Amino acid sequence: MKAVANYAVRGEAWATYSSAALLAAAMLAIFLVAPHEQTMGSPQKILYVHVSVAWFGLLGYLMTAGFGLMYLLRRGDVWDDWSRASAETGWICSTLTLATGSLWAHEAWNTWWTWDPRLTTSLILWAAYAGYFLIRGSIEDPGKRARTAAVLSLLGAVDVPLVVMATRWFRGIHPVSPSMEPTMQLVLLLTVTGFTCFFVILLIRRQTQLGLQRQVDSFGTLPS
Amino acid sequence: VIPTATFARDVWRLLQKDLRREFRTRLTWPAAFLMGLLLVLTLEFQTDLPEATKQQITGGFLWLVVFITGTIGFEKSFTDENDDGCLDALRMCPVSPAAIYTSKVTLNFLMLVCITTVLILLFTLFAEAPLLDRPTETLSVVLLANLGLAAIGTLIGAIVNRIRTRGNLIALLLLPLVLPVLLGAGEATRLSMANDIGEEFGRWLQLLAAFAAVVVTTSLLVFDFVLED
Repeated sequence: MKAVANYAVRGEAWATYSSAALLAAAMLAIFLVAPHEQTMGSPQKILYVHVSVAWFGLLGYLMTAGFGLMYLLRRGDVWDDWSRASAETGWICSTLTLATGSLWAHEAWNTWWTWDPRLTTSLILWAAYAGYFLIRGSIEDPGKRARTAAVLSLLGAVDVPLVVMATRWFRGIHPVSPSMEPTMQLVLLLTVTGFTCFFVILLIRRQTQLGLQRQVDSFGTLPS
Repeated sequence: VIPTATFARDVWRLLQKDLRREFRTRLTWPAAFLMGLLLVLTLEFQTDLPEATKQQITGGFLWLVVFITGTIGFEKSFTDENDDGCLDALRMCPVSPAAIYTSKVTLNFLMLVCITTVLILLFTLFAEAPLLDRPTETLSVVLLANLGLAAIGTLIGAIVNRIRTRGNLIALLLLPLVLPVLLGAGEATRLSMANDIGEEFGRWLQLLAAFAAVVVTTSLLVFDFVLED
């Protein structure tokens, strides 16, 4: 059993180092390998990070809803830990998506923000999950908290298809699958993979931490 | 599996109970109507704009007021039930949670439709908004948007009441979730008032219909978990 635990710790450490190396390689590729875009110039490089965090932002919310559904069906605390960890990771990515998108918009459209359908639905998603954390923080009973959070995450997930399809259904200025050079596509793929690995590691570590926290809480207060 | 006739009978009886309670106490609907009137007066007093500009923003105003007044109904849907233990008694009865949810949604939907009708008349009167020029289009927006609002509002109302959280948490939780409805309904109303009934109007209507269908289905499936202790 101890040997298995050792392997798990070593495996997690290797995964962490590998994802850090991949992320570093992606950053170098963005600045050294990716071709210089003619129209926008250097600010176009924000796109690589923006797409990577936006993808994991949406995935994080779908995972939150998926783990929430598993909690409702199976009732294991571990599912609630996964759901919470996914929501936190997804929300970080969603915040980064809005921030990087705003930087890109300033260079491309000469404004920090515009009420484009994709931007608006992304902001709605961000706000919906801010509400998710708000309600988690306001319920003391762990069972009720997990159940309510799971229901809310399922309702919030309704917004994900809206965000994805917003640029296709409604006229807006946000680009839809723009054509790219093959080198650019490769760099984008590397960046997306690097960020995905990094956030998956973050997710696993947060879930482990939440599980340990629950164990510590279950010991109760020590007698004085 | 509950037979459809039994389900419909349960929903009808629960709806009758809630309507009777509202008729006796006269607390929720009058408060919502008064709030709506005051909001319309305040908005119209504050926005002394040219008629063309007013037409652009009246759709958004209308649905914002519907949302604010609707939260009064959503919050009250389960408050009385919780406070006097009626909800626990209902759960002990052979009534499915889906029937309880459907009756509450129907009640809130009826309230929202009545409020929206009054608000449309008020905006027509005070803002001279051409909301009644295309009655069929306006009616379809009113029905679809209010169904989505009632479905999600009722569920959030139940959640907030079950956890007995103090403060105005319902509006905070509800607003991000219903923003697609408010934006869709606002845009569709604006297009209807501008006599621009084309492809874009149809897409907003489709969004409202899809949202209502998804939210009603999801809420029916998860409502049982919300009622658990």
